[in-house]
Amino acid sequence: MATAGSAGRLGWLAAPTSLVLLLAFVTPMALILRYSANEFVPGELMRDALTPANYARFFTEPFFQRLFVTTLLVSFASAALALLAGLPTAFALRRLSARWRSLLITLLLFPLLVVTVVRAAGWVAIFGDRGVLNSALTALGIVSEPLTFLYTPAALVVAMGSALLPYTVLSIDSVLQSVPQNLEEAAMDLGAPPYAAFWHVTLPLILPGIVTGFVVSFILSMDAYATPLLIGGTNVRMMSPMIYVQVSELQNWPFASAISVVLITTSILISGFLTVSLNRRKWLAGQA
Amino acid sequence: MKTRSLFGALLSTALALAGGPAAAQDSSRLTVANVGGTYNEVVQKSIVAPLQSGGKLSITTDVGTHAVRLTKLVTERGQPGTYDVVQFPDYFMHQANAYGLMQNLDQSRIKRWGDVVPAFRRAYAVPHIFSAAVLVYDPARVQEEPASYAVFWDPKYKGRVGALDFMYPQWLWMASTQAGNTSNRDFDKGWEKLAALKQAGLRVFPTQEALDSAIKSGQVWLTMNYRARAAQLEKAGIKIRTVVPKEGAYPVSFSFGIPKNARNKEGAYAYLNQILAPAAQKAAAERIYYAPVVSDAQVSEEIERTIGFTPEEVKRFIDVDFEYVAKSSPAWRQRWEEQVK
Repeated sequence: MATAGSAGRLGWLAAPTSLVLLLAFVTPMALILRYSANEFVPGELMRDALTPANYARFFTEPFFQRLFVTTLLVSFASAALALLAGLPTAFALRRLSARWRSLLITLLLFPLLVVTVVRAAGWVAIFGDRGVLNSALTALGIVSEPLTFLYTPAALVVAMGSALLPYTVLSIDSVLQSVPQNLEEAAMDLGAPPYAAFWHVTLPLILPGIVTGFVVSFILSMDAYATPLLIGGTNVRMMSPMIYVQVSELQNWPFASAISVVLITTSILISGFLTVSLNRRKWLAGQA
Repeated sequence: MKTRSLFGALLSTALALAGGPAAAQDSSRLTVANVGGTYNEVVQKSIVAPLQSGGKLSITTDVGTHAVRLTKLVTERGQPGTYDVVQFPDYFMHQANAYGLMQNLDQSRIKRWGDVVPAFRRAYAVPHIFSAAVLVYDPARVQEEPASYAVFWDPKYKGRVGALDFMYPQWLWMASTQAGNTSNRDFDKGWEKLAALKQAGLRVFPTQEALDSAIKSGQVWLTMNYRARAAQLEKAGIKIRTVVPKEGAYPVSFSFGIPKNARNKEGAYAYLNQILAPAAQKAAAERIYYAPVVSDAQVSEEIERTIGFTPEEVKRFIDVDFEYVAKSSPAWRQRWEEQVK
């Protein structure tokens, strides 16, 4: 068992990671926060200032308000879709033999081995005006003219939700593995119908896995760049591609920094809220 | 320390650590930034390869979009620059110059300066090629040759009009002509017309390649593009036609210049001279169908017919006020992002 002294000495083991985080995360974040209060001057990148104007612009101009709301809604919907599809898959995994289980996990992880842009290009091939989906619908005589799937919120949510599936399944699975299956059986033996056994026994126990899966998916959706660009196009616009446009094409670094700060802060607040709610629920359950 | 200086210090350190172009550049190394695709292929074959063949110059090309290239120049203002030569379309080049990023050229060091068509001579850049944004249509679906850009608003073609993202100044000018503008300023008159076009399903494409494939697949029937690009598509077997409508066409020239913070200016001048070499001019005309900017390029008559403009058409070119365009562009770009894309 480690003593307090050995723990202190072992703390040095975290030094390389801390240094990397400090250089690669904390310093740029601090710079971005500072830039966000600067003033944009065309041709000069920015001028030192301490102004809230960039934030005021983001929250008052209807275009950016829409951008913010779209980013939140698409991220929620994508994470929710991944959760809805992931939950039954995680339960199915539990009931499989070790051989089938590892095969299914490999299949689940396979999309992660494919570069995001390539995956998005695959969705373009499916959703395009002359894509697989429209060709099938036309061939079956269901439609005569191609339907518009690409560049719609639904297409973007499906493309992002499917990419997030492995994260939710594995998060739930890791918790589900530690829940003895006989707890649910015991509840049913005592007369609880299957849905009640799931609702009152299994669900509270796997809730940390569900919340973790949702939070990870939500953050990844909020940060998504390539998929919104290729599947959302110019119709469904999200914040990450807009940050790139502001940095690289409009040279407005202060405004891009302000959008970045809003994006990061929103992700932290929502993730924090969900995690705190979960802990509070656990605490209340302990009090009961 | 000012945040800008802090950023500069971090950037310089990062580049030095990476051993990149900013680390230590000698006179045998030249870094050039230009647009990619087939344009870059022509540049590599007709400009870079002959210069490198002597073994005295090693050229690195950074390929990217015009806007990103300009941002890099702005970012490195006051620092030793990464680029010795940069390429831009004329309106971006003017903007870079207006920002104080480009140096005025010593024209006595450009041997064929006297052969450059006077309309394309600039104090801060050497032109490479030129064309003009014209109306491009699919003759299988738009049977009658359009006489006016008003065809874009024709309900018959709702949802079949496509625009190239970086051509926003040209689209805004064109839309302003539909709101009665006949001058080479007052482009802002076009916003309402563009909004109506957006409502009618105008689709904005991020790259030439994306627009090309939309034309090829029949999603887009009408657009505005450089005649040179249309000639490339025709050559690739896509049936399209071009016309200079009654409102005119928006000319463009692509040129190369030397940023003020370039570090190999000797090499940069050698590069600028090669741009005007007859072989380089001919290669651009035959491979990417842009018209030569020198009066003595030896281009076949057939190519000249495909890519050139008749004197009547040239008369209808808008006389671009680059200062006005450069000054207005940041605001236009933002509004285009918000209202049209």
